[in-house]
Amino acid sequence: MSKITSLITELIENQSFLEWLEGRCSEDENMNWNFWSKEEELHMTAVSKIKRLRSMPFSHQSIHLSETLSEWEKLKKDIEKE
Amino acid sequence: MLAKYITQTKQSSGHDNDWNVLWAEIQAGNKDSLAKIFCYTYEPLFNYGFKIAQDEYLIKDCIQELFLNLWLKREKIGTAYSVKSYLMSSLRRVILRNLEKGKNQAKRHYEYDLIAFNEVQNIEDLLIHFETENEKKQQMMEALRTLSYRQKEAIYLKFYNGLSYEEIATIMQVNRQSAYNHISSAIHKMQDYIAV
Repeated sequence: MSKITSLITELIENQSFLEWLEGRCSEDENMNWNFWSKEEELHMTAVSKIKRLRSMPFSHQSIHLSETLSEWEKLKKDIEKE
Repeated sequence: MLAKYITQTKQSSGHDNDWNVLWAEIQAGNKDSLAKIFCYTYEPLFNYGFKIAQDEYLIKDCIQELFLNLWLKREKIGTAYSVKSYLMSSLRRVILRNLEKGKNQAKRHYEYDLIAFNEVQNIEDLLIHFETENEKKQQMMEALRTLSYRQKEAIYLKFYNGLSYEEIATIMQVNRQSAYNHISSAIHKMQDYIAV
């Protein structure tokens, strides 16, 4: 496995890194990750690639709230029958 | 009341502790907690299910079956490591069982490989992110085409649902190392397409 693949595979499991990427980490962590990301070219590349991977646009079907509630009502009836 | 809760929970994206509390309440027989988990997870479960089998009615029936069983067996179910992955893996099993009804054991895995994530074959339908520039969209389509069904599923669970390797392993019924390997091989295969 290449260095970059290995680094990406580790980073996408790192909660602190993900929080930094989403802009919801503490100030200290923010500083640490900012420093880390600029420290080496490999790090910069990994961050860019992860951003691309995370933006992979899988299709998504939005379910209207009324439909969800109607499905719940259906389930509730079945539960009450049991 | 329930509608308000769902809207609030979606905005806050939920918290693991809240899920664990709701789970414990379901085990204790609290129907309102079942309603909350049902309503909050309905959309992600439906979308995941729809990637396994493109049959809206089947997926809806399977979600009903999943939650009915969950309620009926609530006293026997244990503490879930991750409620979301527990529900997704259970739904996956229910869907596959329904798809496989009447088929013999030998055909099962072969059939699953053909059915699961079949949607990904139709890449044009898959990529509906209109803001993505054409070139990037094309690159992503090419990248996804290089992956096996299992790799696509793992990538979907990781990057779209934000699950951990442990959770992906639970859902795909493999060990953590295999989940890690699926993702790692997928990323490796896609390297040329996600060039910076």
